[in-house]
Amino acid sequence: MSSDENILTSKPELLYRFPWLSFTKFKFKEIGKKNPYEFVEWLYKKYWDENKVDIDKKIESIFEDAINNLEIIRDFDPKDGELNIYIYWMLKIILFLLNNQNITNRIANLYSKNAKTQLELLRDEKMEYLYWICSDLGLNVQYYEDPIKITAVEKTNLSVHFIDFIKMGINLRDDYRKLVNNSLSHGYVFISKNRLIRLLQEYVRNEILKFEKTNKSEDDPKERTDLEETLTEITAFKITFEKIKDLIKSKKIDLSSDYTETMKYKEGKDLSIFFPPCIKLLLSKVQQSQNLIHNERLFLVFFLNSLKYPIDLIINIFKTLPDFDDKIARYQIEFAIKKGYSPHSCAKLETLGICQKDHKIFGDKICREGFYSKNQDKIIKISHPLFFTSVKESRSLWEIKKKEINGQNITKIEKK
Amino acid sequence: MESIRFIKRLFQAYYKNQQNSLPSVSNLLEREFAFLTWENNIMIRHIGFKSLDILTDYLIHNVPKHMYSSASLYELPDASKMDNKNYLGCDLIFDIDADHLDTTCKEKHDFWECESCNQYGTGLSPKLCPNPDCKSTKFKKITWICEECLEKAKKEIFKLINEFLEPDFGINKDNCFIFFSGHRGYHLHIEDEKLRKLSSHERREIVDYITGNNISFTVLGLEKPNIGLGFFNQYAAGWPRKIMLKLKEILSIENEEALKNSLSNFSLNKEQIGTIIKERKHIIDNIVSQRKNPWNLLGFGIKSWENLFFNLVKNIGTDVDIPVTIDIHRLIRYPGSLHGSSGFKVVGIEYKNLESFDPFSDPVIFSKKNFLKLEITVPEVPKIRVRENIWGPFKMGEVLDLPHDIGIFLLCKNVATLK
Ligand code: SF4
Ligand SMILES: [Zn+2]
Ligand SMILES: [Zn+2]
Repeated sequence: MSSDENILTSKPELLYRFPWLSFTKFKFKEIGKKNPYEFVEWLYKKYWDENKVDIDKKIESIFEDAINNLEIIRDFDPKDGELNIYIYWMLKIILFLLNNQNITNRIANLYSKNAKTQLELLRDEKMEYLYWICSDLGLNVQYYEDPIKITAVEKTNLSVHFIDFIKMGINLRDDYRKLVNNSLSHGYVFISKNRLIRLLQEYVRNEILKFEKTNKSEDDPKERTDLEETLTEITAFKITFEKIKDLIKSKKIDLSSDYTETMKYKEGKDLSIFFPPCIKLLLSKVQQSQNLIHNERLFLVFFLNSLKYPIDLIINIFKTLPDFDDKIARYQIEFAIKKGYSPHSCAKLETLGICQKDHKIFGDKICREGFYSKNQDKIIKISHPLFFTSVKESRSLWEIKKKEINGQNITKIEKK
Repeated sequence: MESIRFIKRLFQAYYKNQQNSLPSVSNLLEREFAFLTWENNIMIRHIGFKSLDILTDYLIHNVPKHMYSSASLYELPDASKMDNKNYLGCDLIFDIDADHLDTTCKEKHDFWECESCNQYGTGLSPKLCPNPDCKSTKFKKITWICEECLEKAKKEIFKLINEFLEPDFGINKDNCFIFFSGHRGYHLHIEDEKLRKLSSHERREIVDYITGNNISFTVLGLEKPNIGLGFFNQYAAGWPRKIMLKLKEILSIENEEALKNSLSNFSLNKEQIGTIIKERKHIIDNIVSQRKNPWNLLGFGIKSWENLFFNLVKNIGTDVDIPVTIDIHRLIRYPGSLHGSSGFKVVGIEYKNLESFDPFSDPVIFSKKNFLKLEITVPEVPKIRVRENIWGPFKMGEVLDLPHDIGIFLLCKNVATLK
């Protein structure tokens, strides 16, 4: 290391760019010490009243970008200085009050993608900064003055202790973050800048996901309502908060994991009610912006494609995912569709852990036990998720017919 | 019944003897204990002890058949519901069980016996009794141990430490606690505050690394053999290095027959083996060179490389019992306790003594001077060494006067009764 001095002390601009660094709490501890009421009051006074900065607009635009699943915060500017840190703290307060998992997920996605973009702006020779950023977050990292070769084309100056490496990437579950596919030596994983940034992105995302929860082990709804009551005494805050709530309302985003709106398509028919448990769970995860593993994504794409959902609609579904990248996603989905792959069988899905026949909410008896054939003489098992959908669909047609026939009978009797 | 009473008496005498010398596990107060009884194989669990003395007392009074303590630490280890125990963390455990290892000796020393007729045979039990008048599906299985399988298990422990835990994970061998399980294998415990906090999911990452499961050659750079295999050379870290060193080791076998023989273990066909042998110098050059050399050999495309690497990985990885490592609520045999299916002691072994550790002698605690009389109750009992003496094979009905050390073993294995 060129110096033992923590670079963050001498480079506050890094803190403005990365407001999630823990050093911010130290550097701005005078403000960090304030309770939420004092903090919010101080913030409006200092920025709104004294400096005429429209804080509302800044905060609102973050929510707007998040709800629209954008990749960056359009209004984010490192030149805003300390304000970026205070806005980050405000987000924490607002997300806690809103207590809306869906919104928290989206803010977390947006903010972490923004962090990724900002981290990527660090030039290669600034790997040292990455070292300090990781150390700041409490990660066990090592820095090497002379870069070390990790693949034929990649070099790195950094390694991360394997425990931190595993923990940071455990929810990503792609092949790249698997320990077995990395250069592990003497307890440390040699990691390229890009992959490290990807892990940091995930770190930031997880930090924001915690905003919604209280620090206490048990969620006390009173804590929330009390805080809301106190804070909305500050008129300026009240206005901001109301605006955000309106915004959410207008975008019809709520806690529900209802995907039927988007899934109505299929030549005018709503097939989504006939989806098997495995697909239903994946869609509800997507709706809540939870990450899907590679296999889950592919399965969802193949499944929808087999039912002839248009590609734009499929891509749209994935937009809410934490690591969505429009270009890459489009390419991957188009590629998969072009290849004409069809979804796996139930047996395979079960080994992949995707089958959900026993799921509390989505589980389905037909998946577990099969169903009787038309002449009731044998049990037919569900062997494929597409089969599930077609069985459900034809059964419902049959039900409708039955009703129609019954209905006709009734009218006939009445006529008599 | 009488046999059990007899064994229990001897076990009890052993535990009395241990009164001031039974080893303690770390964090004794935070571990859950569990016992299996002799009488009806009932598991008594959710027990906590306030001290080692109370624990030893318990052993003397209850003389369990098997004894376990949790790999996990709990605030309230004796709470009867898992949810109420308040989990604090779990040691990282590896289990190597001779039963799971691929050894040829099993064919010789493992037996089955039909429960309806007296048909019996070696190796794995059949699905149906081969006796045409019987066709029963229930068999008694007698699994045995021998020098070969326990040696193989020991080798796996060495491999685990010297090829994975120390060089890759940076875990010092002195921090690896090794135990002979008292019967068919070895355990390795690592007690480290940070590792203790790993979730089951996260432990799987470690297991995958150690076994080579779920490795992706594409991620590691096996993409285009014509322009080189990414970072597959001996200077890499992690798995590419392991694979390359192994390949180099094999290709350096001078004798062509021996080389062919060795290569045939990796699911290659004749032509592929031929190609590799012809190009061996070129391949070794690539492994030792830091340059990106082309790897494409005629008739040996990317699929063939993948297949070869896959089989090399299986060979290099350690054969640990995966569920044991990823389960964070496991119960593990207690050091110093006796294994009820062998009468051998669960022994802690320091790394430096592992090489010389003799699983057929060091864990044996019963006397070779006192004798007992017993009768063999199964069709065949394979040979077995206890201390320096080799016993058997024995046949059904044989009545024998044997020293306690082998006698108790046979009684515990349930292949003989007291006469
Ligand atoms: S049985 Fe098949 S269709 Fe049903 S949940 Fe499982 S994988 Fe999906
Ligand atoms: Zn039989
Ligand atoms: Zn054997």
